[in-house]
Amino acid sequence: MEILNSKEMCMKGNIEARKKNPIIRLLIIFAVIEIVLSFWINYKLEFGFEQGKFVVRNVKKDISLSEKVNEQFQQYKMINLFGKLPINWSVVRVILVIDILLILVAFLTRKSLREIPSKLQSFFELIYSFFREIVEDSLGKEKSYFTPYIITIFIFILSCNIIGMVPIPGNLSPTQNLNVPLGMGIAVIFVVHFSAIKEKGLLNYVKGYAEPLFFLLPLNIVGELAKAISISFRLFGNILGGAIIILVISNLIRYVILPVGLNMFFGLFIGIVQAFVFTMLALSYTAVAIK
Amino acid sequence: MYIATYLGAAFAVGISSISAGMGEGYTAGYAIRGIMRQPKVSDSMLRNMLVSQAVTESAAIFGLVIALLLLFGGSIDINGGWQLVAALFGSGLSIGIGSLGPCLGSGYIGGMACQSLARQPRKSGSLTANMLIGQALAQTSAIFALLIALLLILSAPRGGDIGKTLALVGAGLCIGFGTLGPAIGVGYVGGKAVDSIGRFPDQTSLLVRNMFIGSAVSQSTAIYSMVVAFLLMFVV
Repeated sequence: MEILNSKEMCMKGNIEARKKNPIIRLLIIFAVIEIVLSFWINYKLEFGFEQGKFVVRNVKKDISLSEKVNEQFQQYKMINLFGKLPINWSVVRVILVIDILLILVAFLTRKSLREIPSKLQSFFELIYSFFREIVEDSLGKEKSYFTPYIITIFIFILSCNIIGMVPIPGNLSPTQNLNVPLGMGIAVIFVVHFSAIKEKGLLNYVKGYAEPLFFLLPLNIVGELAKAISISFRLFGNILGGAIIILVISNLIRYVILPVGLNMFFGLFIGIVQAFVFTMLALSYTAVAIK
Repeated sequence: MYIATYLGAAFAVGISSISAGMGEGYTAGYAIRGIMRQPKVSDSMLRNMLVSQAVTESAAIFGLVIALLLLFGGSIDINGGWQLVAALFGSGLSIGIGSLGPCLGSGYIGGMACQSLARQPRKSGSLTANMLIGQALAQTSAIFALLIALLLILSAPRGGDIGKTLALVGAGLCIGFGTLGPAIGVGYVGGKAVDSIGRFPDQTSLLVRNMFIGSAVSQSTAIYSMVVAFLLMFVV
């Protein structure tokens, strides 16, 4: 009985100590100051790079909310869908940055490969063995050469989703632009059909479309097209929705705490979950096509 | 113009809070049943129930955000014409009907998680984490509806012929009804997955992986309705 009581005392003490955590107090004071100040002070600060230098500048021009949303959404005035599309250079730039980062990480890890793994190496080995287990479960042990392809998709989409959290003006995550997820989706579907032809032979592959009845042929073809649309629009809708929600909410309430939490939720959590969903769907499409 | 704003705000909050209440009640009912079965876990059960209800309510909070934006967001423009009227009304319909399904689905997942928590009190951390993943998948439909609602308020094209006005209301209705079924379906998938984790905790990774695939496939119709809503807004 006494032990129980002392345990309870300990728990109560812990809770009280947690309540008096100085960081939480500081955050609350900070939030209150922000709310109070935001009623009087109407200018915003912007951090960023200008001509190669890091600057903090005062944004004087008051941009309306609908203009900001339009700026995020401008890539889809779908009117010139079949015309000549201008290349969105900001997206290309961010993708290049991601590529260079991934190549650098690969080289740095390769350089220090050892029998007894270092921290970085064991981290990547953990990721690799996790995905290899999944691939072997769904495709069979002899097909484990699909693992690098699956991991590449996962890491690329994950870093595309997460890089939107870096606070540089004009930095959007590339998956907000429809072209990037659609391109990835088409690539995935191409790999699915190529491996199906390689595995089954061309004749059996074509025959598979007329199963189980012959007049289901157009339905099967539409189903294949719908796969590419659903896999890419899922990623795109989630990331764009998160970005626009953060934009609108941080415009409605002008303090710092809630938008940071939202950024963590939409950037990290939804980013990781959607990257994993995309990868799993690519894998299961391949598994269905091969078997 | 004002009538459209007020009606849209009323629909946004009113319809979305129907199923939020139902889903939270479902979770709370299962939590109470679980406490009856395992009185020792009441602390972690209460915590799990509160977390689950907070996530369930987030779709209704989306509705509240849209209603506030409609009422005080300064979106009323006298020169907007009938198209703006249609866009404001459509955004209210979109988030209102669109958050019916996600709330029900998340509530089902939360209830099943509370039931499994009573069955496996030691696995509470893993159960809560998987419940949150399932609920995030179910709330994806609500995020689609919110995206369409925000775009209707802020970015839909203004000033055209009168034929486009109904297209904007139709975009709201499309995403609203289109997310109703898939979100309930995803909720069912996630709920059964969490329930099975409670029965076979050793197979957690296999169950979660299959939950991802199943809910992604059942959600694809919500994505098609989002595509159609985009087409109605920007192409037709």
